[in-house]
Amino acid sequence: MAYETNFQPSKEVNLVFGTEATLGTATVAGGTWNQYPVTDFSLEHPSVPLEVAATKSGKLVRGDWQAVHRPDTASYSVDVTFKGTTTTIIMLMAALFESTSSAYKLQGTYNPPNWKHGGSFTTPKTLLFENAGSDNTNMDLLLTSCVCTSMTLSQDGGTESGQLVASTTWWTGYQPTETALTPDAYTIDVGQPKSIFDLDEPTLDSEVLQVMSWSITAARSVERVSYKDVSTFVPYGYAMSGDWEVTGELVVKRDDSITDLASPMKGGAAVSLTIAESTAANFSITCGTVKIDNSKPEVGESFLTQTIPFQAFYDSGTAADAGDLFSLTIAN
Amino acid sequence: MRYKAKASYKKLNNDKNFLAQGDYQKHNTLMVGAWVDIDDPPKALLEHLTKEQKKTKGDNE
Repeated sequence: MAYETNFQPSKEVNLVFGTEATLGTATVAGGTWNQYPVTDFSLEHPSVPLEVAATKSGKLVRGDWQAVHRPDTASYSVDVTFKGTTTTIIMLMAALFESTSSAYKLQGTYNPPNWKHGGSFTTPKTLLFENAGSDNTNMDLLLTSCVCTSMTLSQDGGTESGQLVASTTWWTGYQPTETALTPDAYTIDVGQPKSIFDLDEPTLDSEVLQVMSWSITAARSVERVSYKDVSTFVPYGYAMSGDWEVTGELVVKRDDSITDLASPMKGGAAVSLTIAESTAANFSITCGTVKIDNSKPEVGESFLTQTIPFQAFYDSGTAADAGDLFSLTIAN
Repeated sequence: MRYKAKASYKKLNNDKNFLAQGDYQKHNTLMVGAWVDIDDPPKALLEHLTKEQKKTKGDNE
């Protein structure tokens, strides 16, 4: 016996995304693969949770008969951080909201796909972590049919050069596999991230704010539906197990605009938030109906700032409940 | 531009409507009869959509 000699340089892990056609079937080598500008990620491993049943009365120690592995309940998630380029954000809108053409929206009419194992779905992705497999020959780690369950878009003038950052969570009910898979080819996203310094007078309730940083998070929970058999334990499909929560935060220069927002800060009607470049078609986010959640001043900088947390809702006054919680337009 | 579904859209098979592109958002919203922002509608779907008419000065509500 001796120590294994292989090792895995973390900087050599390359994450590529495969376009799927069928839930439960990973993208093949000759399929459509894309490499997006990923700056950080976490990993998963083919492993299942252990559940320990109750201990018999009169025993104060646990026997191995009590412990059962539960592949039927296992699910896997990884965090991936991207630079916010146009191509990347468009991909994320499809994976997150199942919205594949502009304007990309989350609306009051939202219903998730009926994700059924073996059904045709194009928005879940195969995540291939090249060089992340622990085996000497199966050097890659493959996650099949990943659904994006959370995304935070943010820009901060003080970090990441003010570039748009997308922090995401990807979830799957299928066990990861270590394999040797080399895509025949993949398309590399060489676009430039959107910059906070290109924003043109963001507004909240039509009040122009000097935004130092902002973030918007859309999150949902997805769960696996039972298991189809006791050999593979693949799920029947996926189901959303909770509603969307869209929250965010603005950090702005504390000035007269804060006074002008007195009403929505103290219980007034919902207001509209717009973060956009001067050419709105190039980058624009609108949350049509937000409510401010306990805004506070901050004393960390040479000048005072104000933190404005908010939550976005759909406007229940819109016909057919079709009000926007979140709307994004992006190009170039 | 904003579009609404014509009755014919609601009769399309799923391989012909917005679901064929994976766009559940637009499909769901069209199916409930609401206006939808569509920047670049697929040509094949145009005949099944009604484009919102811009109001001109003097138009009554």
